[in-house]
Amino acid sequence: MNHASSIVGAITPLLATASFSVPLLSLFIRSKKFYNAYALAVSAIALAMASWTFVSLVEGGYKPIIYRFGGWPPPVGIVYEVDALNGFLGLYASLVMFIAFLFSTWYSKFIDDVIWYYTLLLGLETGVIGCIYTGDVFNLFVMLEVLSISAYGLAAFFTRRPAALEAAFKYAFIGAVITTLYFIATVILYSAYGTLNMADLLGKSTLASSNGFSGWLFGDIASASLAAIAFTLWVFTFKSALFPNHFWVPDVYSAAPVPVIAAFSGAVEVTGVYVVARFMYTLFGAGSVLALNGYRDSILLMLLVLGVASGLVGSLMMIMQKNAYRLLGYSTISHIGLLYMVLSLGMSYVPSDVLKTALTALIYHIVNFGLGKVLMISSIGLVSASAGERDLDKLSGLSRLYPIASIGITMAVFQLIGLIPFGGFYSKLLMYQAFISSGQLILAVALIVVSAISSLGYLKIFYALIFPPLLRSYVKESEGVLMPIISALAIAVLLLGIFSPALLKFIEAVVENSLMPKGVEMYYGSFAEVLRGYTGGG
Amino acid sequence: MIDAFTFLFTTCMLSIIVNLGISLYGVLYRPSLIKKIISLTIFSDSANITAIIIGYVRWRNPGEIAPPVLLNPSPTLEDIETFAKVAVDPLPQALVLTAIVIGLAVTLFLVFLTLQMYRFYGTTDVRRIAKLRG
Amino acid sequence: MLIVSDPVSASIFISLMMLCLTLLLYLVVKALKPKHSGSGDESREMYLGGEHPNILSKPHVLQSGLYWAIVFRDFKRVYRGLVEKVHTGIAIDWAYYMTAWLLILLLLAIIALGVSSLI
Repeated sequence: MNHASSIVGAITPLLATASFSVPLLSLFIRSKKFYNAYALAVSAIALAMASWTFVSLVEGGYKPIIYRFGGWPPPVGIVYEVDALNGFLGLYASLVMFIAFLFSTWYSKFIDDVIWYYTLLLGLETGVIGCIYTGDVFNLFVMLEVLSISAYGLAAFFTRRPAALEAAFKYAFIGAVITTLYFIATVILYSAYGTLNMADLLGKSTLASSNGFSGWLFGDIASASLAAIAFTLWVFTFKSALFPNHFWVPDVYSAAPVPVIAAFSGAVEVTGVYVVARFMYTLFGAGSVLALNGYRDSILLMLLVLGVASGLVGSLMMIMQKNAYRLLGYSTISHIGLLYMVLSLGMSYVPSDVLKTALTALIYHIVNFGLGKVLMISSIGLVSASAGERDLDKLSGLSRLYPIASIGITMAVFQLIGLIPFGGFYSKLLMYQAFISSGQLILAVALIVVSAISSLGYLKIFYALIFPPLLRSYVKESEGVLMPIISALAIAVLLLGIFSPALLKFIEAVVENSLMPKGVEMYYGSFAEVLRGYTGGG
Repeated sequence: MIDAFTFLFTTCMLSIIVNLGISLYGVLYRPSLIKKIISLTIFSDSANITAIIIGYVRWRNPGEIAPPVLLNPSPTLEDIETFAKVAVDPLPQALVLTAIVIGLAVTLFLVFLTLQMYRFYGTTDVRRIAKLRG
Repeated sequence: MLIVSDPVSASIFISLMMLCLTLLLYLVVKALKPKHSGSGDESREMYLGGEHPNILSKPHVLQSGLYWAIVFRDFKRVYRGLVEKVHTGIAIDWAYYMTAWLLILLLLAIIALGVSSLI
């Protein structure tokens, strides 16, 4: 077992332990500054570990890294399997969470009880990283629950505000139902395949290979996969807020603490998109039992339609919002719609080079949208938290007090609309190319219509925060740590655009080695190699 | 012609599925928050029973099914062989254990939320708790 | 790579984008242009573009004015549907849309099962 593998295994236990030791530490230490530093240090360590994992993955030629918990052989014990895709997204998510923690050190002056806040936020990071790194379907359920419970708690964090309670209760009720449904889906998978390991499921559903540990099949895998994938897709479209399952996002955004909104938008919903991609391309890919009866094509088509609907609904609803964060919630929904539009181009009649372009656009747009959104939320957070208001009418002209916030909002709007030197433009251009070369002109038109409508919504933020005069005099808060966050992110979104040719080449290699057939083969190959170590070449 | 064992098994399976459907209806469409919590516990319990039933190795003869418990504290190789032959699948039971613990946490959180909502809104009717709209 | 190697679709993309922006600007200009009342009678009432006179007491134009000016007339029906039918804020109404999506998934699964039994 090499270093990279141990780090993959250590990252979630570390985060979980750090999270649970916050309430214990509170028996001895009450200082707010200590908890700020503690949580920031933990998330910095997690970021360093995720980067180390990804660097060693690239150095090893994208060969998936496997960590076996307790040293058990893969189908028997839980494993974490990190290939190019989840290595990259794990790095991205831990970066977003690190920014959220950095933001929290500034925001903590508006919070009375930082102990529970940091416990829950560290729990959220545990859930996100666990969901991304895991190689086991049931461990995904456990991590999903860790993520969800922390998310419910953070949504209801301001328990004195009725809006926060209402949002959290709506989110938590349906969230509890969907996680139970995902539990049923894992049980159905287990009943037919006799295994819960992702690589083993891939082997049995696609490559028709068995192994000595989990035996061969126990039931009708075709119907079990149909039922399981139906439930799973419903669950993870809820987590990632696709159109008919998107209702929780604006509610939760309108009352949660601001750094939490950044974490939700940048990391939690992206996790849902990642899991759908993992199920549709790795576990039940183009050659699996699911593709034989046309189910895979038809649900991908449904996801495509819902992606378009989500983009349109999100961008239309954006225009009429009064609460700044509610507006950003609808903007997230519209971007998630765009992500699903490119995610679902994997139908059997779409050529594989088009699919490769589409998936490259997917990952590139995840990064562009996530960083642009975090930049936007931290800029607006600086303004709105200082004023104690979230209503756009009452915030009018406030960003004149904070020039850095004005710059941040401007850059973020350009990034999210997709203007030319920014990264958002290049990812939308790549999406457009994928749609045109797949022969679906209507999708390309839909992409442009969605961008155009949503630009009206972003214009509203401009118009409310930057142009009008101040309503009354405010006491100016110090920017503190938000100054470096906003300037670094503003430079980052510019660099994402300027270096897009090199970045795209890199992301294309990531896609080639994870979601495309070559990467799927490598995913199974690593698993088989570990098994061979136990059975002695069998 | 089916025997009593198969008949009971099928009835059990069908009633679980009906139970899942009814409790899903309850948790999604009943307006009262308390009834939603009750339906949610029924829903997760039905899901747990589904898991247990799937772990029950149905295709064996009734005489060859036993709980996954080793009676001998220091088992010999033969003990382990017979154990592996008759014991039901223990993995779904482990899964259920995890799910029960998580379900408890979620239910507690929901009860707390309901109490706090009642203090603010004076009602537990979902249709009247709709401040966040549009 | 992809971006520089395909100038044709890049130029189509940029020109469509430009077209959309022009349309948008046109809409904004059209909406903000002062309108003359077409009735032609000699009323002394101040015309405020259909707004209530109390907006004059506001220190500046509210940002919601932008929305109402552009969207109110043209998209009235769409928004009424979106707000009163879909985003009502009542959890039971959400559940209808969410279960519809689940039922579509399950229905497709049943159809696929039928297809695979025919093969």
